[in-house]
Amino acid sequence: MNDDLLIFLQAWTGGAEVPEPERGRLLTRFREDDAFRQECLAEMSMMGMIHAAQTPAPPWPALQKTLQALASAPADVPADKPRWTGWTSLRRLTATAAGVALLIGGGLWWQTSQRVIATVVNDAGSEELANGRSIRKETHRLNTGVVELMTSRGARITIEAPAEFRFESAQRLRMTQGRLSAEVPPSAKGFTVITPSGEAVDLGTHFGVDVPATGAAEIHVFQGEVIARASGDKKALNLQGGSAAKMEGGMSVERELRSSAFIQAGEMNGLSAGLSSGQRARSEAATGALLKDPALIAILDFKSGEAQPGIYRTVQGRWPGSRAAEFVNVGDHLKLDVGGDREWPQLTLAAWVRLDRLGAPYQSLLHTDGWHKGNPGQVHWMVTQLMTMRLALYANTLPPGSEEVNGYPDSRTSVLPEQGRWAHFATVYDAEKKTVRFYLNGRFDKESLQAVAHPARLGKAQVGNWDRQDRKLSGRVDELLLLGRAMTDEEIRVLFAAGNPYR
Amino acid sequence: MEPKDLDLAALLERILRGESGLYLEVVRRYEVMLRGYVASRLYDRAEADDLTQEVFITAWRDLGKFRRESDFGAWLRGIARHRLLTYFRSQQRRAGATERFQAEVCRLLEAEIDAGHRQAEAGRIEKLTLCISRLPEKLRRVVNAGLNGAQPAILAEQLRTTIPAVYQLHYRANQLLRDCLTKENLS
Repeated sequence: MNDDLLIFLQAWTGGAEVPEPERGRLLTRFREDDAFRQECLAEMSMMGMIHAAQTPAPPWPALQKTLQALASAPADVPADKPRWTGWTSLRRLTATAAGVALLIGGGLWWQTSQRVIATVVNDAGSEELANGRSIRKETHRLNTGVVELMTSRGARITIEAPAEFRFESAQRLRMTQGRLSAEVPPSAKGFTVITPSGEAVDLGTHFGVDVPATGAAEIHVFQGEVIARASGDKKALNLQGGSAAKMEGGMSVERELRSSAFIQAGEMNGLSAGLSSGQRARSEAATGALLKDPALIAILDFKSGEAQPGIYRTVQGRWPGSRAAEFVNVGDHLKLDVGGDREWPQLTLAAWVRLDRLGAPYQSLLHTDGWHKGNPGQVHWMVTQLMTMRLALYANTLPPGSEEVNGYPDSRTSVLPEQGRWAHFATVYDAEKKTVRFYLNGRFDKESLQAVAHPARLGKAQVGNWDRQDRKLSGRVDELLLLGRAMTDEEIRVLFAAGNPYR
Repeated sequence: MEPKDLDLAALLERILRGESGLYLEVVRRYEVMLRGYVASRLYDRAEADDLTQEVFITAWRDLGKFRRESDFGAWLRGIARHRLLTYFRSQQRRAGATERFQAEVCRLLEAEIDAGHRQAEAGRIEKLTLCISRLPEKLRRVVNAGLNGAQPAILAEQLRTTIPAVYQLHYRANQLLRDCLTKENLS
């Protein structure tokens, strides 16, 4: 290949930098040298053909919609006659096509900037982007809720608030904040998400991108393959399904996968139906009732906007625009100091939790800091490596012959199916009855007996990661409740039913 | 008779008489050619397909203006050429160096509207797919990835070579594909 052809193709495809004077010289040669022009044209035509041969044709959604709209237009002539003939047919066809196209695309074929790139196909609590809304090249700020978009090439994108994004084309989405998951069919292979710290290029896959308000963007590949390229980094990182990377400081560094941190298309219907059925109002009423409960020790619902001390992210909770604490990195935690020096013969612990990862030795829900000899009744509440709940009180013992095989009261039902969705965890402790009762999503799961049962003691505590390396938490916590009395089975059921974001 | 068995004139006649759904058969027959043609002028695969869709919508809207004795493929390419120029003009203010270069190349090719189009007939594309599958692995990888945006740099990294060398590989692949297509057409 001669040098000019090589440089011409680099300039034409945009695959390499070509200085402006060089471009000008090539264009002059392209205009004046017929042999060179034909040589260039042969390469351009082959590349065009390769595109047509290698990628399946898209489903042409705007065209389909236009034709469907016409097919459903009411007939104004008798059925036994041709509906349109001659000039009438042309006029009708033209008028309808133009009308429909204006409706669906805002002058689709006249203004590239007005081209519909994606459509909102589902939304849960989004104030800014309602279902059916057309998305063009403008910037969108999503303050509440979750939206699911379908691009013109068939990629399904779910974006969770708070988010800011703009489509540069159907295949390029620029995101400055937010969290998205993308299901990319072959027709949209090459779909790219550009973040402030790098980009993710899909190679036919299902992946997530997290762009926090501050800090590095992350790419999580659930299935298939994605190329991660940090800004300014010449090296690209190939991420296979089950892997993830953080793009920071001009480098892509592998990290643990958090596939469940992303709301995906399958979860949208449940959230959307929950909102439509008025669950949010029921939840607020239930929380309001708890605030009046004389036995209330603490309820942490993040509503006040006053930040609790600790290291964690504030993200969207169960409801559009609500807040929850998210624990991402080892060491992330939230500090509490509740319950004072009092003894609590009865204690109910309940929380809405969205677990991203299981498998670490312990997922810490609440750990008091005073867990040491001479301080009986200190409370440690967690999910174990066996994926069951545990409530341990310092110096409590199990009765002889107890069925508990790990030395502490554990629940029976695995929480694994609840990973990646909001789940309600509750445990009721009664020192007088010497019982620990576990509940998952409002259902009674198991009662465990204690031989020695000290009254519970709280005080300084941490939600999320505790001081030890094996007490981590990967996920979100919303509405943590500590109540100085034993809630009944029915109260727990009602608490779950009122606060459940799904329908 | 199935839509696929109708000749083009009969199809167009029925579409104009109100059977708008039959237009998808027309799209099916010409989409490969038109996608190839548009992508040979606008080397951004997503944008090229969006623009191809607009050409089909415009063609459907203007179907009554099509002269029956003319070449329908050439008519579509004429609409595409017009749309490409409009596209590049509308991008002018925000276009980067690549888009400006593509726009100028497209403008200079205005007189050569049909150049290369015969290569993009559907049968030939099927043969091209076969020919691509016969390429040596390294060349096939380059062809599959394409040269859009960051791809040359990514390929250079993966193949442990330089960006110009990636272009050389693509050029070599194109030569082999042309040879292969010639043989396939002779056989």
